[in-house]
Amino acid sequence: MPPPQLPVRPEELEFFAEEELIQIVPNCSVPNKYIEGILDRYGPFEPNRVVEVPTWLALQLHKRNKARILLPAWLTSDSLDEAIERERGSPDSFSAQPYHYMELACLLLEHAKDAFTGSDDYFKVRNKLAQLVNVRRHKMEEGLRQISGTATVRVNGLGGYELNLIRNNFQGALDMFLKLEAVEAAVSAPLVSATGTFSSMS
Amino acid sequence: MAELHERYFDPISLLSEDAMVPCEFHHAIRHLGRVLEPTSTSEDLRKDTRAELPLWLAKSLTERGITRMDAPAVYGEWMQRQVDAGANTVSLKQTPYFYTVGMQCAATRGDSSVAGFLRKAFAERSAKLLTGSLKAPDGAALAAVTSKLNEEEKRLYEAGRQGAAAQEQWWAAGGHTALLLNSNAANKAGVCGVKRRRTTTEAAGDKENLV
Repeated sequence: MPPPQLPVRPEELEFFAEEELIQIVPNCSVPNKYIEGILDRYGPFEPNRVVEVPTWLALQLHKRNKARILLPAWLTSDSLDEAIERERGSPDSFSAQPYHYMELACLLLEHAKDAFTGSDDYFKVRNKLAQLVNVRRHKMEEGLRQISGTATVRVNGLGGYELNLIRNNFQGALDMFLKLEAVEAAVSAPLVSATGTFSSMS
Repeated sequence: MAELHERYFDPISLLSEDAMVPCEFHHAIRHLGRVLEPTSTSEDLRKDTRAELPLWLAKSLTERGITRMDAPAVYGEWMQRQVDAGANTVSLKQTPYFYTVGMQCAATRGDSSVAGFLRKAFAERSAKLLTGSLKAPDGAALAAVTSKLNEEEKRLYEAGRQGAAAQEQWWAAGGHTALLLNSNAANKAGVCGVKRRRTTTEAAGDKENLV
């Protein structure tokens, strides 16, 4: 079996993250109200009406000063606080975050600084995000330490970057355990029928 | 069938089949005495001689009933006691294909104690393996972790490192998420105007380290 490869690299993940929808408020109008893309049509663009577009388009419009980006609901200071509390409170599972939360948050932090105003101050949000990321990373490390056999591991709620971190580890270790336990089972099977007792695997 | 395929092409399986395994012949072998047992005095091997054969040969002969295969000494009592005492301190560098060879031996001989022992050893060692991979350990810690690993474990470790290494590379090359790494440091520098060294107690009190 070849060594496990990373199917998606971090730079690719960041590219895919830009497809996520985000809300903006345009300050100009567009002829025909819609922007025609290759696959899809984005809009309707009317001044001061909220519209949902993919992030790449939002950033382009923002760069040209044609729209103002609104912070997504999960990136506000309060919801990050809540998320951190939830993470700290449940050592066994991860609170659900959007799959691309890390990439999207950083894209916005870097390119759309004026989206962070008022109570969602730029530095506050950045620090809280860093905290959240750290808490989750520590939880992942704890989980990794506890693998000692084939078991189903709950990784729902992890984002793309985080999955990349542990994907190879998990796959490699669990595959190895699978092989070892298969040999153990194959070898103990005659014992089961002979003595009628089940040889425990733990 | 997939397993056969895996064994055919995988370098670890190929190399592991070269490991020598002690065997005892059930039948006499004519004319191959010197080939199989270099120190034998005659051309033919008598019945019940013990010889060390490579794993690939030993397995195939055992399946045909010509020899009886024993587990190499490395899976015996002494090693089992060492592993019970502390699996992480045992250096497997001498047996680069410990697990693969062990699995083959156990499967051919139907030996359940060896199989269970392998699994326990791997379970303990893998815990140590995995924790080093999310954050890059520096010099001394790295040496401490990898000095006791054999080829199979090293491969696992490196595959695991790939995940974190790819991310670190991307962040070093200027990927956006590098912000997450630098936020605290940049914040303090911005506020105080001067970067000062933070003491360990300060760092311990930092919220992010209070997890």
